[in-house]
Amino acid sequence: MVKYIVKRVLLLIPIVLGAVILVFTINYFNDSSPAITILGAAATPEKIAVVEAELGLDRPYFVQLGEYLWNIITKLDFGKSYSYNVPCSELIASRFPVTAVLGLLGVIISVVIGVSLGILAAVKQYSIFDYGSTLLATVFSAVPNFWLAMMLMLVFSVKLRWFPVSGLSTWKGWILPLISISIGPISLFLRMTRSSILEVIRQDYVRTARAKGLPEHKVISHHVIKNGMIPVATVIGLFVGISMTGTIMIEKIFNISGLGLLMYGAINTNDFILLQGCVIVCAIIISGMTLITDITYAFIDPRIRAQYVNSGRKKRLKTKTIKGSEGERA
Amino acid sequence: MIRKAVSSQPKVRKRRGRFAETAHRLSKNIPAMCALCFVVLLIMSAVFAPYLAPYDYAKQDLTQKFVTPNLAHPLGTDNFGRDILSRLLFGGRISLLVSVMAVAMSVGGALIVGSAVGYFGGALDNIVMRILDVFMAIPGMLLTIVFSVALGTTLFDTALAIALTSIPALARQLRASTLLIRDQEYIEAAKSFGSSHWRIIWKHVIPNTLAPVIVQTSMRLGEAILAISGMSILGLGVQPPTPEWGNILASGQEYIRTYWPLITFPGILIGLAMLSFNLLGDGLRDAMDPRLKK
Repeated sequence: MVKYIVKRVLLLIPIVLGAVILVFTINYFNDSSPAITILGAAATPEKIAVVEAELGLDRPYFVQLGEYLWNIITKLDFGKSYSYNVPCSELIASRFPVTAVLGLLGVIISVVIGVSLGILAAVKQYSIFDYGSTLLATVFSAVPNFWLAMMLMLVFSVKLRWFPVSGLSTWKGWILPLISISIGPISLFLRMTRSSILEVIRQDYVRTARAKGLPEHKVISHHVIKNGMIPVATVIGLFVGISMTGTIMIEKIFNISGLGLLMYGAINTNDFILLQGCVIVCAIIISGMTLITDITYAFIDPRIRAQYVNSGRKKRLKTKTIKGSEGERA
Repeated sequence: MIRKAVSSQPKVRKRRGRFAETAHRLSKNIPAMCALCFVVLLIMSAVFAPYLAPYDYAKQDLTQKFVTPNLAHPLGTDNFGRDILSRLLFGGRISLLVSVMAVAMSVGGALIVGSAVGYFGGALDNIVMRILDVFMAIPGMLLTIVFSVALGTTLFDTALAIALTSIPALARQLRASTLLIRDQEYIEAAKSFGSSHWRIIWKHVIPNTLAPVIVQTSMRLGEAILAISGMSILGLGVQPPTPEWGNILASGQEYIRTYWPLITFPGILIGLAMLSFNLLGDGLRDAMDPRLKK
C-alpha cells in the first residue's frame, strides 16, 4: 500500500509542475503589461519600461519562469499582487478558508442528498418517485448554477426577504449559496447512484441473498449499497476540488469574499499574477484531491487492495487495475 | 385464407443505410426529438433574427427603461430601454455562433491530435498525452479564464479559449477509440495497398471514430453556451454592447432588486439550450450505438 501511495505522489509532481509552467506561459504571452495596471492612467512608454525592469519582466522567459518556480517551491511565494501590493500567497491564504468550507459543505450536502435520492430511485424503479426524481435531475443538471443563484436571490432575498442578499455574516447567508452550488452535483450524484445501484441489484449475489431469505432492507443495505457505492465514492473526492472552483461565480453573485471573488477582482483589474497564483493553488488542490481519491479508491476496492497486501500476486494484476482506476478519472 | 396468413406476416424490414437507421432510431426517442425541435427553432430564430425582432436590438429609448413585459415589449426592456426580446434574438446569434466556432475548433483539433497520436503511438503518444494530462490538471473553468484573459475578448478569442480548454479531454477519448481501430485487419489491408499514413487516418480511422465525436459535439455545444455565458458573468467573453445571452444576464444582476425580466429570460434560454443539446446528445448516443444504451 505504501508503495502505491509513494508512486502516486511521485506521479503528481510532474503534473503540478507542468500546470505551473502552463499557466505561467499562457500569462507570459499576454499582450497587456502589468506595468499599466500598476501605473494606471499615468502610464507612458518610458515609465512602463522602468516598472517592467523593476519587476524583472524584461528578462528572458526561462529566467522568469525559473525564478517563479523556485519561489513557489522554496517559499510558497506566488509573487506580489499588482493591485493589492501585497504577496499573493497572503491574499490567497486569507480568502481560501471561506471557499474551502463552502466547497466542502456543498459536496457533503450534494453527496448526502444525491446519493440517498439515487438509492431510493433505484430501489423503487419505475415508481412515480423514480420518474419524478430522474426527470428533475435531468432538468436541474442543465440549469446554470449562476443563474439559479440569481433566481434564488430574486425570489427568496429580494421578494420574500427570507435571506440576506449578500455576505455570509449570519447562518442564513449560507443557505442560498449552498443550494446554488449543490443542485447540479445533486442531480449528478442522483443519476450516477441510481444507475450504479441498478447495475448491482441485478447481480446474482443479490438474488442469492434474497433466496436465502434475507429481508429486503438487509439485502439493500448489506449487499447492494456496499457494492453499488464504489463507483460513486471514486468521484466524491474529485468533486471537492471541482465544487471549490465552481464557487467562483456563486461568490461573485452573493458577494462572498472567498477565492472566487479574489479571482474576479484580479480579472477585472488585470492583476494577472494574482490570477495566476489563484489558478495554480486551485490546480494543486484538485490534483491533491485526485490523489486522495485514487488512494481511497484503492482502500475501498478490495481488488486493488488485494494486490498490494498479497505481494505474490502483485505483478500480475498491477498494470490492469491501476489503469482501470485512472480510466475512471478520465 | 392463405393470402390472409401471408399478409399478416410482418413485412420484411426495408434495408436502410447507416444514416437512415440512426435517424429512424432517433426519431423514436421523444425527448431527443423535442430537443432537436428546440435546437432547430433556436437556429432559425438566430438566422432570421433581423426579421423576427420587433425592434432594433441596439436602439435605446431612455423614456422606456425597465418596462415590465407587455404587448409592445413581450419580455420588457432593459436599463437603456432596449427591447429584451430583440436583444435575446440577436444575442442567440452570438451565443450560437461562438459555441459553434468553439466546438468546431475543439473537435477539429481533438480529431487531429487524438487520431494521429493514437495511430502513430510511441514517443509522440507519450509526450502528447503527458502534456494533455497537465492541461487536465487545471479545472476547465479556470483554464478558460486564463486563456481568455491572455487572448482577449473578441468572438474568436472567446471561442478559441473555450476550444483550447476542451481539446484535451476529447483528444484523449479519440485516442482511446483510435487505439482500438489501429490494429484491425482493414487498416492492415489499407497499409498493404500502400496507402499513406495520413490517408489511412483520414479515410479509415476518423470515419470509424465518428459516432462518439458526433455525440460529443452535441454535448459540447451546450457546455460551450454555458461557458460563454459564465465568462460574461465574470466580465470576460463577449463584451457589451454586443448582445449575448450571458452578458444580458450579467447586466441584469445589477438591477436584481428592482427588475426581474432581465435576469429571468436569458437564463431560461441558456438552460433550455443546454438541456436540449444534452438530451440530443443522449439520444444520438443511443441511436448510433444501441449497445451503449443504459
